[in-house]
Amino acid sequence: MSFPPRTSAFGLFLFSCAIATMTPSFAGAQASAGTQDFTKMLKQADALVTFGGSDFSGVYSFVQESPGQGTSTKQAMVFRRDKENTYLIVIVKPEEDKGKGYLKSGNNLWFYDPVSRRFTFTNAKDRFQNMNARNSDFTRSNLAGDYSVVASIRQKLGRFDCWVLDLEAKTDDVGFPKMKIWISDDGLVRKTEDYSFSGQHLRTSAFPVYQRVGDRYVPDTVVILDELRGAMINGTFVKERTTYTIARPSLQRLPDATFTKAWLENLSE
Amino acid sequence: MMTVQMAFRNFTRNSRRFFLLGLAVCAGFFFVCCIQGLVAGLSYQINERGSRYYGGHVVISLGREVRDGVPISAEDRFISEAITRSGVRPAAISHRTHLGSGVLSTAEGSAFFNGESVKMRRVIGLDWAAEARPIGRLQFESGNPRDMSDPRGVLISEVTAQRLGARVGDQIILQVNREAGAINTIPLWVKAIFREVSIFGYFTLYMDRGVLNQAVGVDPGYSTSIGVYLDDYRAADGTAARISRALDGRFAAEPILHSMGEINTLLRALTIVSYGILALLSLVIAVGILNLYRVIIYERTREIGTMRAIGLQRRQVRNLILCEALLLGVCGTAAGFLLSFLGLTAVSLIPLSGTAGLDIFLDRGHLHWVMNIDIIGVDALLIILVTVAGALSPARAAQMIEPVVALRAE
Repeated sequence: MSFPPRTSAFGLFLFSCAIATMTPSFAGAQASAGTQDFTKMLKQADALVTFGGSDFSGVYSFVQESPGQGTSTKQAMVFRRDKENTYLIVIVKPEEDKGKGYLKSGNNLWFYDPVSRRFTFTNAKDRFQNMNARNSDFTRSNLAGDYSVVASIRQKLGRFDCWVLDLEAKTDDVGFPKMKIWISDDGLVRKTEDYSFSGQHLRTSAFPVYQRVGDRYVPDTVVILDELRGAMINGTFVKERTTYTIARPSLQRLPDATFTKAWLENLSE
Repeated sequence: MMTVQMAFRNFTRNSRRFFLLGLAVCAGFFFVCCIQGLVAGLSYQINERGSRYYGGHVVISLGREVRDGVPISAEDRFISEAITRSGVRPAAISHRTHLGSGVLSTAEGSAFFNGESVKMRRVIGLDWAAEARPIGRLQFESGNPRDMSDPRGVLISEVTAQRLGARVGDQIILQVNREAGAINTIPLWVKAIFREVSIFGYFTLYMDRGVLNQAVGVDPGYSTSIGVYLDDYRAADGTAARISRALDGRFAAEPILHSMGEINTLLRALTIVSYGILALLSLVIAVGILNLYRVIIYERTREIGTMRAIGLQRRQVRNLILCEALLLGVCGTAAGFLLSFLGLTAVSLIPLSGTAGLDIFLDRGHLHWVMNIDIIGVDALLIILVTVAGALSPARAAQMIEPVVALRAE
């Protein structure tokens, strides 16, 4: 299992592509919102990236760019069983983090540290490995269940014609109480903006390219910008950015033992 | 009376004879005063800092149980009435919402400014009007804490300000988690920046309780704790017991030192060590006095014989020696007290800011000490008693001297 490391230049290239293809344009906007069933649209967007009938596994490569502090990379193997709302993530690179892992089972999320050989409870809303991704980003999508659509508009996002939906959480237990999402006409989420309860813009994520896996989709690359973290460089605020790519996506059935603490412990050894 | 006069005359006219003994008593009491002054200073510092951190010298934690059915205002009223019923006269009463380390939310708050972020160990929502005095005693580096009357104001530590690159007048963003976990943010204006030691302040933030409650999505009148500030922190144990009784077991009032396990242990250990040193010094003084007085009695055999020959009774001889020892003890402890006072004052003038490991002992960069007159008074009494007790055996020996034998002595 070896992948070329995602260099800073490569990350920059990916992000440039993402932004270039996703700059919003209002040309051709204002299609009729009245005829649209947005709940259905959200359900479809969820369904396209949820693996209800099979397990999912893939290798995720992360590049974290913190302005003024440099770039760091990580690689993790992700195993998902969406029908049971469970996942297991184990860090494989770098060497010092190797064996650290996360096990989600229902609403419980444990973090495993191979040094202390202990599992500790952690929060799904916390940052994943101190990057801009959250632990909840790796679970199944439940936009239709968690959010209500409060506003909509047609907008062109780069080459994609999209519906832009303003979402508000139905309950207080989702990480981001307000979201704005761009759903392209093929039903895939292309961009999200996450907001706090008071409306503070917290995070922007871009999903420029998807790869098809069976009859489902998984992002090829995800670019996440933190709207609060960053640094002033030459008078400009440069945001922290996490880019991750997903390789070797597979829908092969995984042994039941995969989603257990024992398996994570064994894997870490 | 005559015995006392004679003792005083002997003591003042033969000061050289008593000098060494006085020095021993003085040195012993000097050490006792210094150690107890420093331990009391540390205890005072920890209690004062802890009271600001926890919201009083005695704290009644409400936690989550308040929300299970009973209206907050009813519980609040019950506790306030219990404090009044207990007969305690608080210097101030605090109502606080504490956020962090499992107090209200499972996640701590984070402060953001210009892209920098600091995870806060504790976010404290307080009513400024009620706590202006104790919080105003923080060491402020810049800004004016009185501006906290603005509900959008915030007090941050010097370390937090440095990490964020924020100054007074800047607007920071505080990110908190609502009760069920949803993220919320509040813009807050930095009104003042304070300096505090690591455990009580590096990552502590003070803001308005109503604003914090609104941000985390609880009732505006909600509080996680009600605290009682006292004029004398040493009354905390007794006060907590009285309030607990008045609370009828529905809530527990705890002295804040109970919330600071390791620090409490350290303070107890230091107190035990200081009493251990006091006991050791007392023993050394007693033995020293005993031996030196034996020599003195031997040297004064003829003098004692003469006094006995001109009519001094045995008991009067003994009392004379004991009175001398008493005077020795009083003068020695007074000198020791004066020297320790001057010594501690001199040391406290030396700036020690930034000295690793000393921060918790310091008040505004200087060593802080406290002379608790009641404790020092008891210590002084003990040392005087030990001095007198040390002289008891030689005094008995002196009273047994026969005048004829004594006058025959060379």
